[in-house]
This record gives sequence, C-alpha cells and structure tokens, in this order.
Amino acid sequence: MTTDSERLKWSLGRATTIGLNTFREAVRMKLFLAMTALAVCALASSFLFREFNFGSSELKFIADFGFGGMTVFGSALAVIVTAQLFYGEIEHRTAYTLLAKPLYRSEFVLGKFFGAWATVLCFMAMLALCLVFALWWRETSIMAEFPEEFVNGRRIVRYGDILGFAALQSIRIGILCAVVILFSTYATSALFSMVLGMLVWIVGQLQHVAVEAWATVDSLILKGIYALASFALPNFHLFDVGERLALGEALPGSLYGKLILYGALYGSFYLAIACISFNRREF
Amino acid sequence: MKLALSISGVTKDFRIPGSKRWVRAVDNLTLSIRENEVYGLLGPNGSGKSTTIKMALGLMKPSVGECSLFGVASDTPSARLNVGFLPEAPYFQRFLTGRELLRYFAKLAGLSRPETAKRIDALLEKVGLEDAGDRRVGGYSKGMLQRIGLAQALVGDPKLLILDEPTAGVDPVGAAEIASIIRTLKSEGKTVLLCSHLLSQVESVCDRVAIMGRGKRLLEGSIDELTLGTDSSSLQLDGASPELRESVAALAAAEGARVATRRRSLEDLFLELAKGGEGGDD
Amino acid sequence: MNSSRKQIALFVFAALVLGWAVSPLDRSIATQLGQRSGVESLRNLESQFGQGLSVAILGGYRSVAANLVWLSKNGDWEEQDVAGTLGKIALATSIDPRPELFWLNGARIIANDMPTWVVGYANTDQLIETEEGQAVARQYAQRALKFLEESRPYHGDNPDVYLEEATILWRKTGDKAGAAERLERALGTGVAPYVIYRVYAELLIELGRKAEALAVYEAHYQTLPDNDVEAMKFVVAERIRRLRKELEDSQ
Repeated sequence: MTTDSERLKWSLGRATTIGLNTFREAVRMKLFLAMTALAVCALASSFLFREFNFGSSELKFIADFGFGGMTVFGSALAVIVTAQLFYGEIEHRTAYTLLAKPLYRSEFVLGKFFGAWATVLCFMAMLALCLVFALWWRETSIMAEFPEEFVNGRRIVRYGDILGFAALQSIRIGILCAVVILFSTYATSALFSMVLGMLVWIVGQLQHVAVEAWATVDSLILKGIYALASFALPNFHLFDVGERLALGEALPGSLYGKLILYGALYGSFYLAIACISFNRREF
Repeated sequence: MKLALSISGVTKDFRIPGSKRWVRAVDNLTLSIRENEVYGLLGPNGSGKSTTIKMALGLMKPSVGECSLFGVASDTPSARLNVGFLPEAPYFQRFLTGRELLRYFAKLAGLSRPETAKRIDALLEKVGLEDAGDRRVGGYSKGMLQRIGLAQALVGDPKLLILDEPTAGVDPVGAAEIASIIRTLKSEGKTVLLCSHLLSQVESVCDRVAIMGRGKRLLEGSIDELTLGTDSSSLQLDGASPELRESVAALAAAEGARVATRRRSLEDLFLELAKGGEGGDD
Repeated sequence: MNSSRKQIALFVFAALVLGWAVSPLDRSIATQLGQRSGVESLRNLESQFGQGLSVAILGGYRSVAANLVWLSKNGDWEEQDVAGTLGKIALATSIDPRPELFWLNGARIIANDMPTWVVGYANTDQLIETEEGQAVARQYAQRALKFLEESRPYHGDNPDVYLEEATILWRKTGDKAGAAERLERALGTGVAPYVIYRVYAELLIELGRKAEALAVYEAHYQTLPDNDVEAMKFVVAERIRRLRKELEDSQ
C-alpha cells in the first residue's frame, strides 16, 4: 500500500475502472435489452413503411430509415442514458462512497463519460449491423429479381459507407454525451440535465440556421441570441451526411478527419468544463 | 504524536435554497484525532457531525478553516490515500454483487489482482458476509449493507477509518460484532473516527469522544474524564457486600454526601449537554 | 453563489471563443458536404416553420417525413386549397428533394389543377376562351416553371423534368421556342428517351425550322436499334423521307 505523504497520481486506469463499471450498470439495467428491441423495431418498421414510399428506390429508403434511427434514437439515448448513468450516481448517493476514495473527480467524470458513450456506441453498432444485414438481404433478393439493374452483377450499396456513417454519428453522440455530463455536474436532478441536453441537441441541429440568421437580422437582441446559439453550441447538422450517402456519393477521407477533429475539440472542451465544475460541487 | 485527522477553526455555512438566508452547520470547530485512537463524535441529528465528516473527506469545502488527513489538506485527492469511509445508511451500486462491489473498490484503490482476491475473501469473512458475497447488493438487508459498507471501507487497508453511524439499522448482535471489529482494528494499529448518536456503543469502544451540538464542540475528553466530569467526588464500589455498602452510605451521610447506585453515564451527560445546547447561543 | 454565476459566465464566454475559433472548420465541412444554406432551405417553408422545425430535428428520417407530408397534401388537394397544397408541396420537396415524383406531380398540380380550382370546374373553358382565364392559366404555368427550376440542384440531369417544363411552356403559355430550348437541354443529358427526340423534331417543324428538324431526325436515326419497338425506327425513317421531300419541294 501507499505511504503517508505519497502524492496520488492521475490515473487513466481508475477512470477506465469507473467507465467499465458504468457500462456494466447499463448492461445490468437491462438498458441493452430495451435498446436492442428499439433498434430491431426501427428497422423492421422500414419494411412496413416501404408501401408508402414514393419515388426513391427501396434500398435508399431502407438506408434512410436506418440512418434516421441511428441519428434520432442514438441522440435521444445519449441524452437519457448519460443523465441516468451520471446523475444516477449522485441521486442514489453512490457517488458519495466513491468520491471519498482516493481518486480525482476528473477521473470520475471521464470514466462516466466513456461508460455512457460506450453504451450508446453499442446501440449504434447494433443498429448499423442490423441495417447492413437488412440491406444485404433486400439487395440480394432484388438482384435475383432484376439482375439487369446491377452492372456486372456488382452490388450497388456501399456497405463500408454505412459503417462510416455510424462512426460519424458516434462522434456527434460523443459530443452530446459530454454536454449532458457537463449539465449533470451542475444539475440538481437527472430530469434537468435531460431537458437541457435535449435542448442542446435541438438547437445544435438547427444551429446552421442561426448562423445565417445572425448575419441577416437587425435587432441587436436577436443578433445576440443567434450569436450565442451559433457560436456557443456545436453544429450537429454537419454530421448529417446521410443524404450524401443515400444519393450514392462517397465521402472523402478528409471529411472524416475534419469531423473527428470537430468532435474532439467540442467534446474535450465540454469535458474539461465538466471536470472544473464537478471539482467545485459539494456533496 | 502525529495527527490522523486535524480540523482547525472550521466553519460551514449553507444558503437556504430559494432565500438569501444562511444557516451555520458547523461553527468554529477544532478537533484533533491522534493515530491509533478510537474517537467518538457524538451529537443529536443536525448537530453538524455529517457535515464535519464530509469536510474532513474533502466532499465539502469549509467556509472558514482547514481540515487535513495525516498532514495532507483534505481537498486534495492524495489526502484520501489512507482513509476508508462508511457513509451513513450506505447506498451502493445495486446491480453489483457484494464481491464485485469490493473488487471494484479494490481496483480503484490500486490493489493488484491476486492481492484483491485474497483481501476480498478475508474481508467478507471479517464482516460475516462470506455466504452473501455472490448475491446482488440490491437484495441486501440494512444490516448487510452496513457490513458490506464496512468491508468496502477497509478494502484499501486504510490507516484511518471514518464510520458514520455504523450500527444504524443493525440488530444488537450485529452491533456488538461491529464494536468488536472496531476493537480489532485498534489492536491492528488503525485509527477510527466513529460518528454516532447511539451512546452505549461509543462508550464501549472509544478512547476519546467529543460531543457536538448546533455545530459546536461542546465537550471533548476521554470517557473517564467526561463521565467523572467536574463532580469527581463520586466513586464506584465494586464487589462490596451489602454490609459494607450500608456502612459506607452511613459514613457518607454523616459527612453530608450521598451514595448513588450507578455511575453517571455518557448518556446522562449527552442529554444534559443537548438540552443546554438547545437553549444556548446560535 | 455569486462565484458560481461568474463561473457560468466564464464558461459561456469560453464556449463562444471556441465556437468562433472552430467556425472556419465548421464552414469548410459544410462546404465540402455541399450543405444547402439553412435560411434557403427554410425559406420555402415560410408559414410552415413549425413543421419545418420538427422535421429538422428528425434528421435522418427525411424520406419518411417527406412522404408523410406528401400524403397529407392529398387532403388539401381534395379540398382544392391552393395555399395548403402549395405549402405541402414546397415542404415535401424541401425535406427530401430526391424523389422526382414530388417535382413532376407537384408541377402538374400547379399548372393543370390549380387554374381550374380558381375559376371553378364548371368554368374550365374560360381558361382557354376568356382573357382573364388565360391570364390565370399563364400565372400558374409560370409558378410551376419556377417550382421546377428549384429542382435543378437535384435533378439537373433528369430529362423528365425538362420534358415537363417543355410541356407546360408549349401547352400552357404557348412559348414554343422556350419549349424547344428545354427539350434541347433534355437531349443534352444524354439519357433522354427516344420520344423526346421525336417531340423535339416535331416542335422544330411547328416553329418552321424544318432543316434543323431534319438534322435532328437524321442524327437520331443513326443511333436507333433495329429491334426496339419504342425506337419506332420506321416512323423516324418515314419522317426523314417526308421532310427531305418537303424541303426539296420548297426550294
């Protein structure tokens, strides 16, 4: 064991331990069961909705549905799961015992973030695999029915891009998780951080509108509000690459790099603030 | 002698939510706990005991004053290297089994894998949960929660143990067992800070106690000092025959003194002080 | 408490600085993605901003949302509600501009159905016979053309859209030259069906540009397969023969 005046070193190991335990909590909370059911239902419904799809081809429609599921359910889950897993520790007073241990609060914050993020990532991976499976299955049967539509019998769906899309959405979800963690360090209830998290999601999704409105409105107050929305929050619309993919265009590698950088900047910023804020919190 | 815990001139004010008024939970408190002593912190609910412990552990910052553990300021994580804490009515991750919970905390304490396995077995046996180690904590009774709480506090083999109401919700047999564990810990060279409002237990294990009321330290000393108190003219007669007692009583009466049948207990003192404290200043 | 308020203010300020610092990266990603400007995509929605808001949040469920809007448009169509139908058509295409059906059907509704709603079914002949009626027809034709113009970024290489424009220009505004120009653009896409070549050539003949029409037919004839009924090779051959004769006669 340690000696008296030894200084405690910041440890990624402890953060990982907390992260793994958080992930285990999500698994044992049967969160996964619910999420899997949700994912399968979301995709299965795309087969029901096929009937009322005008114009766009069936495969495009299924892809669209899968992308939608990843974005919408993924973001909603990110907000709910993160608030539950982080604030839950405070609400159930388990953080109490934990923070009395020799560990840095920033280790706790990061551990919780990675645990929550990993939980939602599992959901995304599940959905992505379901989508790939659904597309593969439909494409195979369409190929058998209309071989002339496929040049040299080559498949038209680019499966790598679907995984790429899932990876990009994971970055968006990472930012959202970090935001919810930040709110939870201030919050006095899980609901509070959920509501604020949802708000950031919505405003972030519409942020690009605010950026342009900022330049066009005259009222100073409106300008201020738009400036806040457009600069202080991340632009989630940038991650809406599904349209491009569904149109059959490939995403350039540099775009992946830029989006990863974008996510890393925002994510680490929110986490840094969360650590500062959590350090000040009293229990 | 080196101090395990030092609290000097600590005051803690809280703002009443939704108003501009402040309430003082701890008022200019000074406490010193020496190494290898069992120290009892007594006081009724709301006397500031829990707030004091939270400040000692760095879970809260004092408004004024300083706390340190083994000479390290409480607000640094390094201060908690040698401390184990059992919170009042402990809550643990309900989804873990007792063994998993201890493994989790052992990992956080930096124990190696083989060390952990050995330690967990020993601890489960020590607190009497060897048969319940593989059950989910969510299904534990109140008493079992206190036991697993004690085990997790001990998992890092700390030099100082802070126990907040360790016998709350535990049956008398269990409470006696916990008292015996505390005695063993002292014999192993550990320091224990015991917070309680159940005085009989404190009386049986503590070397020194402090009594708190309204955030202030009302009294501090060894059990003997406190129970003998200023009225040191009382004495205890053990193994005396009825005849001897009668003659002593007669002798005392002739001198204007009286013979009481029991010693003044800590409880009496506590109630006296608590009453006085309530009527006292704020 | 005061210090915590100060801290929040500091955080917001830091967030603003970060947003400002990241904005070049933000713009570069948006440009690379070719994202339409937010204001532009929302301008179409106008009064329907409420729906637009929820749709933007829907993120990926574009086609589903657009299809739902398109279906709900049928209600407005049955009620002959011009504003409602226009709004829903604009909304559906702004949510998901990919399906050509939204554009082609939308244009037909605007150019063909709406003028009859305005004058009333009983008075449909006014659209041809009276000055006012013709004005109404032209007004909606222009509207439909403007609408189709908006599909360019998504369907610039779709001959069917040009064919639709040509039809409206020819039938509703009488602008045969304009119609011919649209058909030429349709042929320029390289994927135009055989029928567009024939329509284009016939339109040129109506415009009195017989020599050009002959050239179009002759060039077209070279590319036609022998065994495709739709190609109507023998009809094209017959037209070429007659055109040559007419041109010779007129000389």
